Amino acid sequence: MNFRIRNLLIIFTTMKMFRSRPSILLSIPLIAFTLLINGCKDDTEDPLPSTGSIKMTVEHYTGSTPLLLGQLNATNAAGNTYQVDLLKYYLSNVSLIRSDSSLFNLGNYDLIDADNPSSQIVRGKDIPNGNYIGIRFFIGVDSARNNSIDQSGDLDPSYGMFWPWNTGYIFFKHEGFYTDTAGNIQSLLFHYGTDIALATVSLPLSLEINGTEKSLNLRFDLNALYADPNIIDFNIDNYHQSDSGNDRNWIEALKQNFPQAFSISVIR
Amino acid sequence: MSLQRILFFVLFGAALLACNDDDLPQADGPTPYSLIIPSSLPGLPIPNNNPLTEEGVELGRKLFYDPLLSGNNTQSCGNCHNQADGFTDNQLQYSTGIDGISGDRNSMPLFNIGYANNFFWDGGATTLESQVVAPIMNPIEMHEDLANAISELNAHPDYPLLFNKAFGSDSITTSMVMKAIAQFERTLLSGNSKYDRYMKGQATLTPQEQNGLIVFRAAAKGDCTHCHTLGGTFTDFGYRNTGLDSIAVDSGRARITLNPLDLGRFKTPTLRNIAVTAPYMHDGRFFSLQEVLDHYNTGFHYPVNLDPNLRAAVKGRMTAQEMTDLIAFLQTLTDTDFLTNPAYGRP
Repeated sequence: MNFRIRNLLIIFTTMKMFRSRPSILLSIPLIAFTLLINGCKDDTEDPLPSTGSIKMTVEHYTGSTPLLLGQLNATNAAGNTYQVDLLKYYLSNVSLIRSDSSLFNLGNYDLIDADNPSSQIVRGKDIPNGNYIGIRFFIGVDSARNNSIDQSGDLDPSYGMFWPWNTGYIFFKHEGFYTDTAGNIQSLLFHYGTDIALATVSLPLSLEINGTEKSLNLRFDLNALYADPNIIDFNIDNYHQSDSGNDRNWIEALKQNFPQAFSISVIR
Repeated sequence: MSLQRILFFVLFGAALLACNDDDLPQADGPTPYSLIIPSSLPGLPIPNNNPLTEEGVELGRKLFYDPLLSGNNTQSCGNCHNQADGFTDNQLQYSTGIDGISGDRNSMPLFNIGYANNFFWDGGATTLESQVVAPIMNPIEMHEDLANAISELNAHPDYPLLFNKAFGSDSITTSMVMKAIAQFERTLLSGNSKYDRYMKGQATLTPQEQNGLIVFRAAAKGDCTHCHTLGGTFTDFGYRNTGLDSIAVDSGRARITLNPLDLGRFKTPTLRNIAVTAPYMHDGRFFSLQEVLDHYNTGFHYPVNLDPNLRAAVKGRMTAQEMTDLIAFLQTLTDTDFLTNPAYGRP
């Protein structure tokens, strides 16, 4: 809308400058030229690089070891040996925090899949230049979008992260196996979600945006997710679909653990 | 008019029109659907982001009856939601999915569903649109991979054009499928039963039916109106534990809220067309209306979260004759016009 108002102002001003009849004719090419160059100009574009971008790569670990899918080789704080066959989750609303605590929210909804490297990159652009002291994001989908019917992009319900009985998304999925106390291999299924499960992760960060692209590394340690501060013992918790009152404590425990499971660093 | 003035208006128009494509009226967009709401029903809420259109409703109807949306292309929504049975499953207790597995809840009627705020027996779906994909994906129902359904639709000879007409794009998305079927379902309005005509002075109830209506309303007898509000939708859309079991077998509403107080609570179903939607209750355990009334008259249990109205109800308060009359009244809620209207059937 702004460009229209600007065009009108230019025309008014030009008309005033040429009050006499001959000069009106003169003003036609001037005004036409104005419309030509201004008519379709996007106001958000700025020739000066007053904004920059980020490229955040997510890496998955079990403790200090990079995550290997399909291997029964990880050990959590409860002493369970476990395996990850599927690890998918929503990482959304990545926001950079300024020193006055205000946020710049990328408004993203990224479905991260440990089995798909291209899904593990979160990009943000048009970030105002300046110094940022932290980053905040959600594991999951905020209530408004969780109950929306206009799902697109990574929120398309066809990605296997939409409950079959419930409106909304499975925020986090871990499927695999673990070895129980008797030494038997048992299956593990964690489907974490519902509005009460939205987990907020806030991390300190020293980042200057100065018109270029900055690369960040976000490390997600599954061992920490099952340890800090609430130890999850797969002998007790090995099957949760967030569909029963019995799931509440597990949801609450993971929600408290998520912030400790992530760490971030700036590469360049 | 001076040259200056003419010039001004010309340029004024040019300035306004510059970059104005987005505001131009869509000459060939979909045609708004004129929904006729029976006078016995309230105004129907339509979400702003999914207005009813002729093209959308017709597309939704085609999709509703198309087995393409199931995993092996053998079942459509219409298989378990049959018009003649009030869009329930052919008098069956449980429906059987494409893999021969049956569920544990009774197929729900779909008419007047646009009045509900939550869907399924436990209210798990919060929009009609999002409800649509659940039975399609459910492994014990249509067991289809949504991404596969979308690619089948995109490769179909007819669907891309139909979606383009309804939604302005022939690149079909899950969201469009959800919206189209929801549009069709919102048009399924039933409000022309004998009772409705009686209320408008166009029909008379027999003495037995009239007595049944009195039993329906009487607090010391049927006491039905707390939940099945008389007229309109014949439901308050609430969730209650009606004492079917002393300890709930199916967690019901608690599956969604994760709240133990909601164990065994299920949605109040409508009573419209109740005579054709047997069997009854969330698990279809009662095959006749007599069994249902026996439950409410003498059979209910006392779980901790039993509905307070039922807890206060005296057992054996209705005589056999009163229940017979009540059933006669419930049969006046059948809307034959709706059950046979070709507009709602297989295209």
